[in-house]
Amino acid sequence: MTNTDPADDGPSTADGTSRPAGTPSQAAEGAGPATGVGSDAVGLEPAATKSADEDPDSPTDRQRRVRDRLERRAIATFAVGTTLVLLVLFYYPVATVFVDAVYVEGALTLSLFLDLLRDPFYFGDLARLFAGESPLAVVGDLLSADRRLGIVGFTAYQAVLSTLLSVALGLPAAYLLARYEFPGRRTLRSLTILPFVFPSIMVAVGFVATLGQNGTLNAALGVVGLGPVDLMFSLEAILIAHAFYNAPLIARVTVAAWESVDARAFETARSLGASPFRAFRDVVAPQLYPAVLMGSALTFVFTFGTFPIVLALGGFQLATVEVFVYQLIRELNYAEAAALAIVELAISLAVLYGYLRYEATHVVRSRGAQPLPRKRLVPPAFSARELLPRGGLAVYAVVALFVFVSPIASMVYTSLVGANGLTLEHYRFLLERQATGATFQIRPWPAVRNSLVFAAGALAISLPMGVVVSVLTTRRYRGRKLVDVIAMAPLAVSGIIVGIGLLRGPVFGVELAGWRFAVGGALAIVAAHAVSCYPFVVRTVAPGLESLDRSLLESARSLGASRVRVLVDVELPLVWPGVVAGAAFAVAISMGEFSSTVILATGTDQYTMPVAIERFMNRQLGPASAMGVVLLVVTSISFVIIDRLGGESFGI
Amino acid sequence: MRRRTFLASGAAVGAAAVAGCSAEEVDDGTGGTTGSVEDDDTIVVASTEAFVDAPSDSAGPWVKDEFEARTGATLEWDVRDQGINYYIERHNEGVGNDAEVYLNVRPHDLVRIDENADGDLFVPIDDGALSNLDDVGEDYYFDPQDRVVPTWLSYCSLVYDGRSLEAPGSFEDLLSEAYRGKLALSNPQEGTTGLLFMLWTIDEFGEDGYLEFWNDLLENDARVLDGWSDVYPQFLEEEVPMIVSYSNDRVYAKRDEQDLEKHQVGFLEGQGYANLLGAARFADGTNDDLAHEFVDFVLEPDVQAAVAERNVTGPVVESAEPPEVYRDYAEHPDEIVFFDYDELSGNLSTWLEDWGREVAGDV
Repeated sequence: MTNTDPADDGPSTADGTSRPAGTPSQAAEGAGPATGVGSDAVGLEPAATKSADEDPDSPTDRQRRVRDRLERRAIATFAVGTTLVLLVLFYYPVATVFVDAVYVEGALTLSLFLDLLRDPFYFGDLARLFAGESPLAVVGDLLSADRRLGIVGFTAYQAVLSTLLSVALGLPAAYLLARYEFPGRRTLRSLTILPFVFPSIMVAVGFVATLGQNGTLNAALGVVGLGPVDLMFSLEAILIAHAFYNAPLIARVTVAAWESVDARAFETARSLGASPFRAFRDVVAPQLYPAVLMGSALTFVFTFGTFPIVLALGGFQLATVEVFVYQLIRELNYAEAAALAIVELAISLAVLYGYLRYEATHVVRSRGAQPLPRKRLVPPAFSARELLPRGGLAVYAVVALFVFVSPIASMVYTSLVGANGLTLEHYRFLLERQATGATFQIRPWPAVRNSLVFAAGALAISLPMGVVVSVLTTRRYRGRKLVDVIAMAPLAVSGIIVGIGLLRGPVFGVELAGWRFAVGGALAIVAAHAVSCYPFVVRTVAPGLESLDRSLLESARSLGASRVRVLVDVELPLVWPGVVAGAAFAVAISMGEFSSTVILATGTDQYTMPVAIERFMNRQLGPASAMGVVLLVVTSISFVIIDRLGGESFGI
Repeated sequence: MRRRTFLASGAAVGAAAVAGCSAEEVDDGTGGTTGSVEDDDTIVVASTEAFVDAPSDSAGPWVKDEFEARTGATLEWDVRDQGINYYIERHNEGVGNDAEVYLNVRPHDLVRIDENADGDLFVPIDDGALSNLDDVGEDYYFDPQDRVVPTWLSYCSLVYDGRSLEAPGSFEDLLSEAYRGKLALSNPQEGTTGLLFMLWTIDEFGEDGYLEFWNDLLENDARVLDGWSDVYPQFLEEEVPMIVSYSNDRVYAKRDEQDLEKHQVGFLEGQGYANLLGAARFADGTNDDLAHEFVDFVLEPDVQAAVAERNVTGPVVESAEPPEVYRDYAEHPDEIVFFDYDELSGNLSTWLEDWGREVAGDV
């Protein structure tokens, strides 16, 4: 069991405050050494352990009683707060748009959905099934060579392929990061989240430079006498770009699972005569499946709702459902847009629900973990067993260079090249724009500042929200997986629908009793970010809470600790890697968010780095690339800091 | 995380949330402006990103400074990512618009407004209040209801890399082997240039024939990307040697010290599709004098010329003298193609939808 003492600076990752010192908490100590809560734990003694010789009416005592009562209701209070935030800033705004799909001209109707389902353009051959044709004929056609997938079918098809490719590119990275020790491993691990943050417009340019006719890939192939290959404007290009975004996600969650495998179980299997492969298959792998599946489910949902990257790298022939949601919104045709977005949401949530059902039946109980010892990257002996995996990793490294590093490297290169060779003029442009840009123009520093402030705000809201929802969904009651899946909805709702809902509702203002209540643009942006990243916190924290040995919780409770006390002193320290991982994802999602930010920003003082990059992309690539490098530097530093604050052996 | 910090963070977040909210009493039913207190010498003008905040150079800052210097008033730009849709939304929600004038309304914006806005988003401008109207070319008016005063004009055309391609002379040429996989353009549902090009094909082939042309065009490996800002970088990166853009491209290339051989303008059948823009007055506006003053200012010949240089859009005022770089490098088609409001109205969304259904899913 690793000592997960967050005493040094762990908690300050979450909310930027340091821990108050106090007397040791008996409840926490009662929970046994596993909690690792040290001698400076906060002292709010639970009522059960109150010493009898205190004056029951002294002010400190009264304060203590009040605090105590507050503490006992903390979870409920936070749950109510979370529910309110979600209602006001997500479910209600989205519902105002969705209602257009079923409430047409003053009457409830499902005709829009029926029209969609029967439309071969969207559902291909399946539409005929919905239209009442015989299932046999439809299935026969679907199995034939000239089947029609329809837009929804094609979207699902490319999402499945993208997920498979992301898994294929993510797992070797997870293997490398979890099982090998080499200089820079932790930094590399904290930087794996970078692709998540990149604006699609920049990624598209990077991939053109990598995969295009004159790209680095063809240059490299030319050196070895192959090629040229034309990968641009094809399904392949889209899949590779999706893997660029999502393979790191799969790698990170898998590394986390791998690092929390209990080495003792593995060693026991080995001592009982299992071969290394057999021990891996029977002991380690079952603990990785849930993480890999979680990453896959999330990847499917993301790539199912993909939009700008598809058109930038594939073209309109490969349009996805989200392209049409956007188009219908632009045409102000909310009814059809909402119907289509609901269909999209239903499919995504069905996939998430399937994953959650799986997760529920594959919980591995743990009391914390003792990770397997890492191997050195330099082979200790030249035997096939040592060389094969390392050789495989070397091949993977070459692929990873093209998929992950090359697009980013080409952006850095573009930012340094002008008409006459190497130059810093694009960075000079940023400085000039900062110095002389008008107030109504986008300037680099405010964009950096806003990105950081919004990310901090989103983190401060989404972390408590995510923890509370994790607690609520890991309790035992009927239908909790349904609650869980509804809580995941922000992942799967089209970004433009959320943005429009927020704009028309909270931002324009809601009229009540002659007053108009409105939410400021910046706050709405933070809320939108928090709502879109809190599901990640849930997904990284909940499985850990689920797998904790209940006896730890029960013993703490029996010693008089309140529920929130147990959560803070016992459970969270034990699942701290998950909390740090959730925090990193939250920051990444907030920093990379584009679609609702751009809708909600009122005036140029609320724009973030991705928006600035998009705005600088106009007839020349230099300024936007320079801004992209600024984004790269700022986010890299942020992630390394989060990772370091998480403490050694923490963070995903 | 410790319990206290956990609770404190909750409290802090709550406090911050309350701090970001505002409540104000609603005006009694006049649907007046919200928020900022209006004073008599500030005018809010809604416009487009490219006009106000393009990285190369944009006309917005110059127009603001010059207008303020000439009138003593204050000009505030209001730029929204959703463009005209934002103002339609606010109008329909009954929260009103603070802006007095929308600069850079296009014919297809008007069609969308009239199909979606409840009542009047824009109202006609009082001709008598504008002194420069006589000078505006008669052909440039595109709103039968006279809400929009034309302000500038540019042309949609092809831009091609002259080092590797010949100029295509006709639409049919685009279907030939020489141009296979050479053309990229923006999605008509998203980017202006793509929309103008689609309308151009409808003018050429009729609404019964344009989809067939598009099918052939895609057969010949043309790329339909998202916005113009996706298309243009691919031209710069030399991934595609021909794009649909504007006929003033060489003005930018000249100023940006790009290779002018690479930036060549091509007109199909000697035509270019007109991209006409204008100014319109918001019905919610409260300051008639300043609004008239602003529109009149935009039509001053020297302002038209200055904007022609900075925004690289042609003037609509006969007496405007554009600067030398514009005269030398901006190209004009022999014949102008243009659908006015009446031709677009009732057709545009159908054309776009049919186009989307034809092109997408064509895997």
